[in-house]
This record gives sequence, structure tokens and C-alpha cells, in this order.
Amino acid sequence: MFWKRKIVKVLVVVAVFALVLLLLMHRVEGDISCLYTTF
Amino acid sequence: MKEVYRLRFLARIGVVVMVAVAFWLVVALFIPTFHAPQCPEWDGQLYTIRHQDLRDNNPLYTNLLLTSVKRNDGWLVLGTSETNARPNGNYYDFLNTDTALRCGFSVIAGAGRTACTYFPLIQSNENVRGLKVLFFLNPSYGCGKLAYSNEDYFSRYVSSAIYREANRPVNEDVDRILQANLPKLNCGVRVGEWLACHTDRLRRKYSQDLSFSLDPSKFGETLTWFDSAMISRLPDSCARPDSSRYNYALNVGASFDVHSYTLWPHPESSYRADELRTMIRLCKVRGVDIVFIAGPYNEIAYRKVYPQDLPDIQQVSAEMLKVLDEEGAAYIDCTDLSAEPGVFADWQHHTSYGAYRIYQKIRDYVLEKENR
Repeated sequence: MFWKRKIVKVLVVVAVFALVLLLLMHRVEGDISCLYTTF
Repeated sequence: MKEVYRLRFLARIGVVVMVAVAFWLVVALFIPTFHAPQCPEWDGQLYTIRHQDLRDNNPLYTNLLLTSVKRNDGWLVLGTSETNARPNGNYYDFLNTDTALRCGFSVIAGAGRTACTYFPLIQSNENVRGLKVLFFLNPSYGCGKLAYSNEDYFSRYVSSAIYREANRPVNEDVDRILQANLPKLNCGVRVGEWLACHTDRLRRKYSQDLSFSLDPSKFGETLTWFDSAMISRLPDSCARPDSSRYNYALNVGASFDVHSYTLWPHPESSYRADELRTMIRLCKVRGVDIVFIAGPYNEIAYRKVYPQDLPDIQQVSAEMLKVLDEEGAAYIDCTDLSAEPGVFADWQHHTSYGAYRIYQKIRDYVLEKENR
């Protein structure tokens, strides 16, 4: 039981690190709007 | 007890997330910068880049755009909303399909993208030296709110954190114009912008440097090359608009209501003249080969709808030419198109026919310059 809990904890930490890395590697698509504002 | 456990669990996850973010941001410092590959398939000319990359002064894209235009002996066309893509082609589309011109015309355009929005790029990027630029000057920027500095447009295209970094050493003329456009931010917002700017840079280490190093084809997918895809958007007609779709009495598109908005000329404002003068001088100092296109105004519409304002818009246009002459700037005078029927879609944007007439003038200039 002790090892099982340890393994789950390690997996959660690894998953969080991987998730943060994935988010950092994501490129934001799209661009600034070039439409007019009111005159 | 269950609540405490949950709270403690969430707190731990939060700590792990923060440690993970901090860890990866520190690791980012050791990721080498990605450079565009040097090979024949990357030797073409970029057609455009995102405004976002210009706003962030992202050197991967800004350097590639500038060097690719120069390497191919092309031109970079800069302009405001009149230079945005038009359904039946704009003047640079005609230029790009003209086989007599052996060069490409890349484009960056957007509403309110006046000269000052390029000052940080021109000041900070060495690749502008020797760059051939066509810069469209629209007289409507001497009208209404547009005749003055505009924080909204400026902050849309220029990050204040980037501006502060780019303006070194400080050029006083440039600084005066930029200060007028900078939003009046309090200290907290400024710090926030600075943090956002630098966090973004670290993030680019992953979203750009690491990602593109692992798979360079991903970088290729983010680029818009000047190629046959651009040429296929070809203008199919250079004839005057059909009278069933055009209001020749007011020189605007049939569906355009001339009372939907107004462009009151403000000849008393000296801001645009100062901005233009500063642009000309900055380009001289930085070695930019800039040619201005003095754009037309809708004289027929002013004459019919607001005849009392015609002298003022004429004065705005004349002032633009005066500054260009005084500063010895190269320019293509398109102001004689102001009273030509079929040229305007509304108060300040030309039709594809207007674009064709502007193209003809640029073409003559470029051919003459090439043969000189």
C-alpha cells in the first residue's frame, strides 16, 4: 500500500510537469485584428 | 477532515504546478535559439508575417521577412487599412502579377498602422538597412481623431515593453512621437507588461525554439511565402466599376452610405506632418530605401456632400506633399486620382479600379528606378 501511494504521487508529479511542458510548447495561433476602431 | 484533506491535496497540486512552471522556465534559459535553416527551399521571399510577431519584435520572423525581401531584391509594402487585402485585388496584387517587374512585393497593412508603429522595428533591427519600402500615405489620417496620436491603434501594434527596449539609444524626435502615442499606464500595469513580455520570450523557447528544432517543418507551416498561392489571388478586372454596383454621383460603392460616418479634415493638426518628417529622417539614418505613395482623397464625395470641407482636405493633402518635398523624400504622387470617377469604395478606401490606377503609377516608378 505504501509503495502504491508513492508510485501514484510520483506519477501525479510527472503528469503535472509534462502538462506544463505541453502547454509551454503550444503555439498561440491567430493574429491581431486589423479592423478600424470608430472614427 | 475530508475537507482538510481535499484542501491540502489541492494546495500540494498547486505547489507542484508552480514548481513545474519555475523549473521549465529556468530550463528555457539553456535551450538554444532556433534559426531559419539555410537551404535553397528557404531562399524565397516571405509574403507577410503576423502583426503579433511584429508587436512582440519576434526576431525569428522579423529577420526572416526583412532578409528574404532584400535577398530577392523585392519591396516591402506598408500601409494602413486601404492596403489590406481587397476581394478583387489591391495595388500590390497587380504589381505581383506584372511580369515586367522582376521582383515581389511583400505586404504588412492594417487600420491605424501609421509610420510610428514601425519606429521600434526600424530602430532596433539592423536588417532594415538597404530594405526597399513602399509606404502608403492616406490623407484620411489628417481627418477626425485620426489626425492626432492614437493610443488605441498604437498599443494594438506595439508593445510598450518592446518600445522601451527598442528605443536605445534614445532618438528624441522618435521618442516625442512615441510618447504621444503610448498609453498612460500606471506603474503596476507597466510592470505587468514587462513581465508578460519577458515571460512570453521564455515561453517562445518552447513554442518556437524547441518545437521548431525538433521538427523544422512546423516552422515552415507558420510561414506565408511569396509564391504561386499569392499570385492565384489575382485581380481579374481593372475596369471601372459597373454603374449598377457603383454610385458615380458620389464616387463610392452603391451600398455605401456617405452619412454612415464622417471624416472632418483637421488641417490645424501638425501631428501627422511631424510623424511623417520623423519617419523620413529615421529611414535616412537607418539606411532604409523608402518611397512614399501620396494617396488620393475622395474629392468628388467631398465636393457633393461637404463642399465646405473641400479646402481643408485639399490643405491636408498639400501639407503631406509639402513635407515630402521639404525633406527630399522619394514619392509617387497619386493625389491626381482624387477626382477620378470609380476610384473610391467609400470616403477613404480605394476600389480595385483605384488600386489598378495606383499600381500603374507605382509600376512606372519601379521600372524607371530599375533602369536608372
